[in-house]
Amino acid sequence: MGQFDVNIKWGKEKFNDITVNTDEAPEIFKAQLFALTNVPPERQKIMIKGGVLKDSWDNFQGKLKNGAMIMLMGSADPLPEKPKELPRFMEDMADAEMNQDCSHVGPYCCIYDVKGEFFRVAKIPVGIENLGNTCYLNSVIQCLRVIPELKTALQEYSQSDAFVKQLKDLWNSLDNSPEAAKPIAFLLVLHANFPIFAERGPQGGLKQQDANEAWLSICRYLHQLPGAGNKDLMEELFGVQYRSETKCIEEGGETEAKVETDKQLSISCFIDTDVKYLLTGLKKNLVEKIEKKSEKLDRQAQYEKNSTIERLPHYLAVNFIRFYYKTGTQNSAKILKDVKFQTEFDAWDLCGPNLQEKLKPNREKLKLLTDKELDLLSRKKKNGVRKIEPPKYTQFEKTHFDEDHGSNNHGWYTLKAVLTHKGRSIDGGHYIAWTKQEDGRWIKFDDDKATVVTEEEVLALSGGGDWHTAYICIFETKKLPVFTPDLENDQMENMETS
Amino acid sequence: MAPKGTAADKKANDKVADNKKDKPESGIPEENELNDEDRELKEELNLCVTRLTENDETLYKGALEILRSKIRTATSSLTSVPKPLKFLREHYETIVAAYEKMKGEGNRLLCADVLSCLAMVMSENRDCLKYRLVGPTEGVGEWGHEYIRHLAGEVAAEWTERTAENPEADVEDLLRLVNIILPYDMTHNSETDAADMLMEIERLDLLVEACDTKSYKKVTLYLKSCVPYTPDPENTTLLKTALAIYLKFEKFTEAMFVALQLNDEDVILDIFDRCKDNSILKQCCYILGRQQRFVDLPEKLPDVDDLAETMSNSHLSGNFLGLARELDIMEPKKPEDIYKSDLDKFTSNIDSARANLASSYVNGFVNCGFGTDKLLTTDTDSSGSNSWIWSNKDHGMIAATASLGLILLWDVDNGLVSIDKHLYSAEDKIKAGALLACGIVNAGIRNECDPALALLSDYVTSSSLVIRRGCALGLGIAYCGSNRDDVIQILLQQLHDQKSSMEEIGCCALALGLIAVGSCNGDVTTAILQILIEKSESNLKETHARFLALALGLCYLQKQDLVETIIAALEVVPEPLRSFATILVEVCAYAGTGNVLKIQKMLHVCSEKPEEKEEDEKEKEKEKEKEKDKKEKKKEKKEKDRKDGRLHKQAIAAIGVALIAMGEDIGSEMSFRTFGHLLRYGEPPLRRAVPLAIALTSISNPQMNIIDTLSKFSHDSDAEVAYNSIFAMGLCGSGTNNARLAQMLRQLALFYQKDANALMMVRLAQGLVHLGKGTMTLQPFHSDRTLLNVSSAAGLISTVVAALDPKGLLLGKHHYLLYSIVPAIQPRLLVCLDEDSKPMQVSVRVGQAVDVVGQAGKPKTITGFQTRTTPVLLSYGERAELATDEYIPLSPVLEGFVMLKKNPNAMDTSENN
Repeated sequence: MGQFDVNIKWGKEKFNDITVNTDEAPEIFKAQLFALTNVPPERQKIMIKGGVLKDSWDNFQGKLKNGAMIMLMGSADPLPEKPKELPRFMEDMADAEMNQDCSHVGPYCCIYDVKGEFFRVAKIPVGIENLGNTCYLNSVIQCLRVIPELKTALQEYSQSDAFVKQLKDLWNSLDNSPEAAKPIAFLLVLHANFPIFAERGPQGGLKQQDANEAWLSICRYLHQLPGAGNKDLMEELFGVQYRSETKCIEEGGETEAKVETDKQLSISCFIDTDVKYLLTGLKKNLVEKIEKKSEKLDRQAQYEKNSTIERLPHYLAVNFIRFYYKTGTQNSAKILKDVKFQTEFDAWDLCGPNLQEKLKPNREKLKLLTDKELDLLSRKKKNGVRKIEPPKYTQFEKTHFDEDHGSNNHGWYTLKAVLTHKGRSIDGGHYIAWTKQEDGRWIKFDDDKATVVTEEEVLALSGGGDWHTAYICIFETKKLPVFTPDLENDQMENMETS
Repeated sequence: MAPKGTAADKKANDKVADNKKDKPESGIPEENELNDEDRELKEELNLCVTRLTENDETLYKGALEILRSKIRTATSSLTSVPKPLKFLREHYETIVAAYEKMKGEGNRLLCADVLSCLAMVMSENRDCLKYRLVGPTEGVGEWGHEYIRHLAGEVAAEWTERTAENPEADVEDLLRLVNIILPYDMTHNSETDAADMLMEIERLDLLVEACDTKSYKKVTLYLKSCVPYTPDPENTTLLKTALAIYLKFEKFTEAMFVALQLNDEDVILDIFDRCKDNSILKQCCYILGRQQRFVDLPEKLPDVDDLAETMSNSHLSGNFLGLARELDIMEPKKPEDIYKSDLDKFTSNIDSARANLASSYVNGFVNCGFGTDKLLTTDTDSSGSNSWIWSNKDHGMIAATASLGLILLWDVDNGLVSIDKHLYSAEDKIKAGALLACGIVNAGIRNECDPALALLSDYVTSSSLVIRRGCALGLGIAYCGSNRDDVIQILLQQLHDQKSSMEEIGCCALALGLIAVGSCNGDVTTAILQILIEKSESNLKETHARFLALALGLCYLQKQDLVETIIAALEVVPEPLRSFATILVEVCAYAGTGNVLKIQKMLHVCSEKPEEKEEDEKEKEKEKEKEKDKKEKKKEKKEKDRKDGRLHKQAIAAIGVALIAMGEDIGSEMSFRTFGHLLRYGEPPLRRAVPLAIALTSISNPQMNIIDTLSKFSHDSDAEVAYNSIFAMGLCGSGTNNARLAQMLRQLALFYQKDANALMMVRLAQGLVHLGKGTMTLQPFHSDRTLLNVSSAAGLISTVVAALDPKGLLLGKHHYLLYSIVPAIQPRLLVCLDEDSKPMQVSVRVGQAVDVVGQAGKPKTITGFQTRTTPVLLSYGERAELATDEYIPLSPVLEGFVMLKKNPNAMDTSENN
């Protein structure tokens, strides 16, 4: 042995003509390499033709020659360490522990991301399994669940009624179980009470049903629940009162208009070619032309029926009349037309003069509030505050008239739930519920699958194609916050300090 | 299977015979039906024949000459029996009689000439040949093409008959005829006929001389395509003939392919010796590299270092990354990008070790060879710790660390540096994974410094079982197909270590099998047979015992008859391993040969009814029944079934059918049909193997019908059938990015959301489908599907054999065995290189390959093509050709790395303007 000039390869780098002296200890050579590469000697692996340099040159015996290629492996990077916190795996947890992890942390549950780090997200409510064409029922139940008053009423209901009990049980299991609920028992009582929903198709499976029909049937059944005031609960929460004037519009007909009052649990949005927005559709529905026998003319005559709303409920259920019976083809057809709706809705234009008068004071308050809010925002903007958050209110005024529990006293609503239909006919297709949670997230309930969606996605359900199209919208009365001067000052101060 | 040539000949003969038979019925048209022209011809011919029956010999010559010219003018094409032949049929006997009587030498010759042709449609006694032998030797070709075909057939038949009785028989006269026929065939577009004849008389040597620059391409193509249909010694003769022809015309790259098919190192070295053109030599090295065959080049070659480096595949990583940049797919992909449906995080709850393990594999497969990913290489926090490895549990850590090897595949220099730091880990499993990764990085690459051996050999003696296993497997993958004695000795030591458990022995055996694949290495086989004899019966019933059998099989991969001794030696091994091993070794020996007899034998095994011994057991069980609850018994029996099924001979026989038929389209198609029956009516262990077998016939080639069948069985009630079907789907679509398959797998992932095992399989399949982001293949056949890369085949077979027991191995603790697929991973690219080996962009047409064997003229070799610019990806069954004649490729097959040189006679001058 002796001195050799060798080439050293280290990763992509190459050092040519490095002198190795085998008469010296290998440490010296390693130190030489350390100078070149910064790889500490203890981490250097020096290889030649299948041999690694150890404490002596033995392994290199006979392989070293001038121009030989030597490979150096090793890096100056710090060694990877064991992470301080190790993830826990599903496989290691007992079932109970897992359930605990998911459902008992209140509205939150733990999720590990792909890297094994924890983060917390709000828990998603669970869905309801489809028992064979029961998506209409599932979506109706999910829509009902946005009404907390109904839940309290169900809990407090003392009489034994199978229907109410099953609904209550279903509600409870949706609240507490981490898995999708199976509404078998509820479906049975529904079938028992409303045999039309038990109708079966030629293959023996359940038939698809109209969700609006189911909605109305359930609401009607729940009339027996007592309300907070003197009326029953459903009427308090959903009851719309109409006042209609029917006038003959033919020459020589009755000049006196006939005045009637009417109560309904929802209002309907009529759709024809001019209707592009929800409000126009609702207005259209208030004006009807009817043909009836005129006593004075003693023949069938044209009448016009003009309705106005006399009472606005806390929850306004809007039904889009999308299905109509085609006499030509003898089947129901769907109007796919795009009818836009917003997250906020003002029912002012639908109300009769009496009601409008009553609504006025509270509307003023609301207007003042929004004006102040806007003012505040614009001032903030001017002062260069980047992150503008709407003020947080803690106190709210009541939104019903004193004498009428569950009514709306200012005419403004916010969107709470949308029930959509996808498909071309009433006895087919698929129903889905999209509801807004307490925390402001929108959740899409497609039977047992619940996913978070954005508000834009919900507003895109307005129709105009074969995508899911809104069929029932449920609006809740807009909250009326108490705007105290304190709050204003507080806001201002906040603003100044920031 | 009979050689194509004879079949074709027979058909031709049949046609003539048919015509012969047909004639009397359909009848020669009645005299009055003939038109004037024909009647005139007939009368003239009749007159000539009458002349011959008369005694005036002087008139014979004239008559015969008229006959000859009439026949010759009519036989130039033979779509229907020519009229003169038809009219002379009835006079054949007369002319024969006249010939017998004839005395004049000239007339006799002339008459024999005419009779020889007439005999073609008349006699079945080789009269054609008989009269040809006594007739004149010149002007044979003028009788037309069909006559030559017929004559060649008779020559061959006569030759076989004579030599069958006495090999030394005198065939000089026949040889004379052959020498007349041969040049005729070669110049008249019927090179295949010539080859057929020579094949039958076993004088292919004549063909080499007869070939000229025009005909050699067709001749060699035909010879090569006959190889799969020819029995053992003759196929070598065919290849050798093709080789000789190529060498005669100095087509060295073509010769190199044949040499590789012959698998003869002397021939390869001979080519290096003969070829003087350095760029062609370099192209040969690229071809050798693709086949992962390393030969020691003679030192005297110019630029020997450069050639050796080319052959060592060290350029592979760089060129592959070049392709990736060109296709703009460098951006690393996360497993989530592959799963897609899981974008919705809110549906998954808690992190599962199982899911992370699957993600480790998927991440490795998807980013395979790209050198970068988002979990392992980039995700290191400030302290340099890599949290991903620690998000795996127990054995998952091996897989996660080893997947680093997949990501850095082929990039030995950088790869080892990145892996190095994990070798210092305190956790044995990470260390084992890092060692495995070192092996994986080196797969198919040869490095001067042998880093894999240098690094891994230190750990073979480690006290930790896990490290030793990782080490063994790493060595196996790194040196797959190399038959390196130093590596084998290290592993043999480990194999014989008394402390070794069956698991470790299995790993060692697998590694040994991979290294010594197709080498018949005596050291390896003796050592393994010794283990088989020494180990107790219960040990050999363990699931890992399969790898001992596999190692034997791999050693004899494609060695055909040579395997007999091993099969005899296996007699001493106890059941069930004996049958399992015997069949596995046998099918390995015939893998990829398409041998029909062996396929039939395997199918026979598959169709056997389970043995009748069950009845005795039933009686015993009846007694037990009294004691035991029924349910409990059922459960026990199920478990017993499963254990027995692990080493089931029918399972391996089904795999065998696929292995033998692999790479041969007709055989694969036929076996696919049979597999359908086996899946429906087979015993459970057999059914579990069938999906894998189906996958083997269609690796990296997701054909609609195959995927549909597998998809159907991915919902089978037998869980393991379902698992294997899913895995098989992955193998079928490996490296293709096939959208339909990816969609199917995503749906399966949803379907099996709650079944952790099935979900793991789905993930693995998804990873395989997106292997290398769709730029790779596992198909062991390459270069126009003519060559079988034994290392690739070994990798595939090992993976499939491991997958036979999904619950015991891949879904259990031994999922890292899946890395045995690494030797099969190859990029499916075409890169054109200039003469300095720099990648260049040229336009190529890529289309479906068309079989042009035996077709006349210059048929198109591809169909439905698209024109693209290199580098391009080639799918299964696709072929490329240069779009312009600006360059000449140095390799006949445009696959992998192909060097181009400027065409001096380029027609296209548009570039110059």
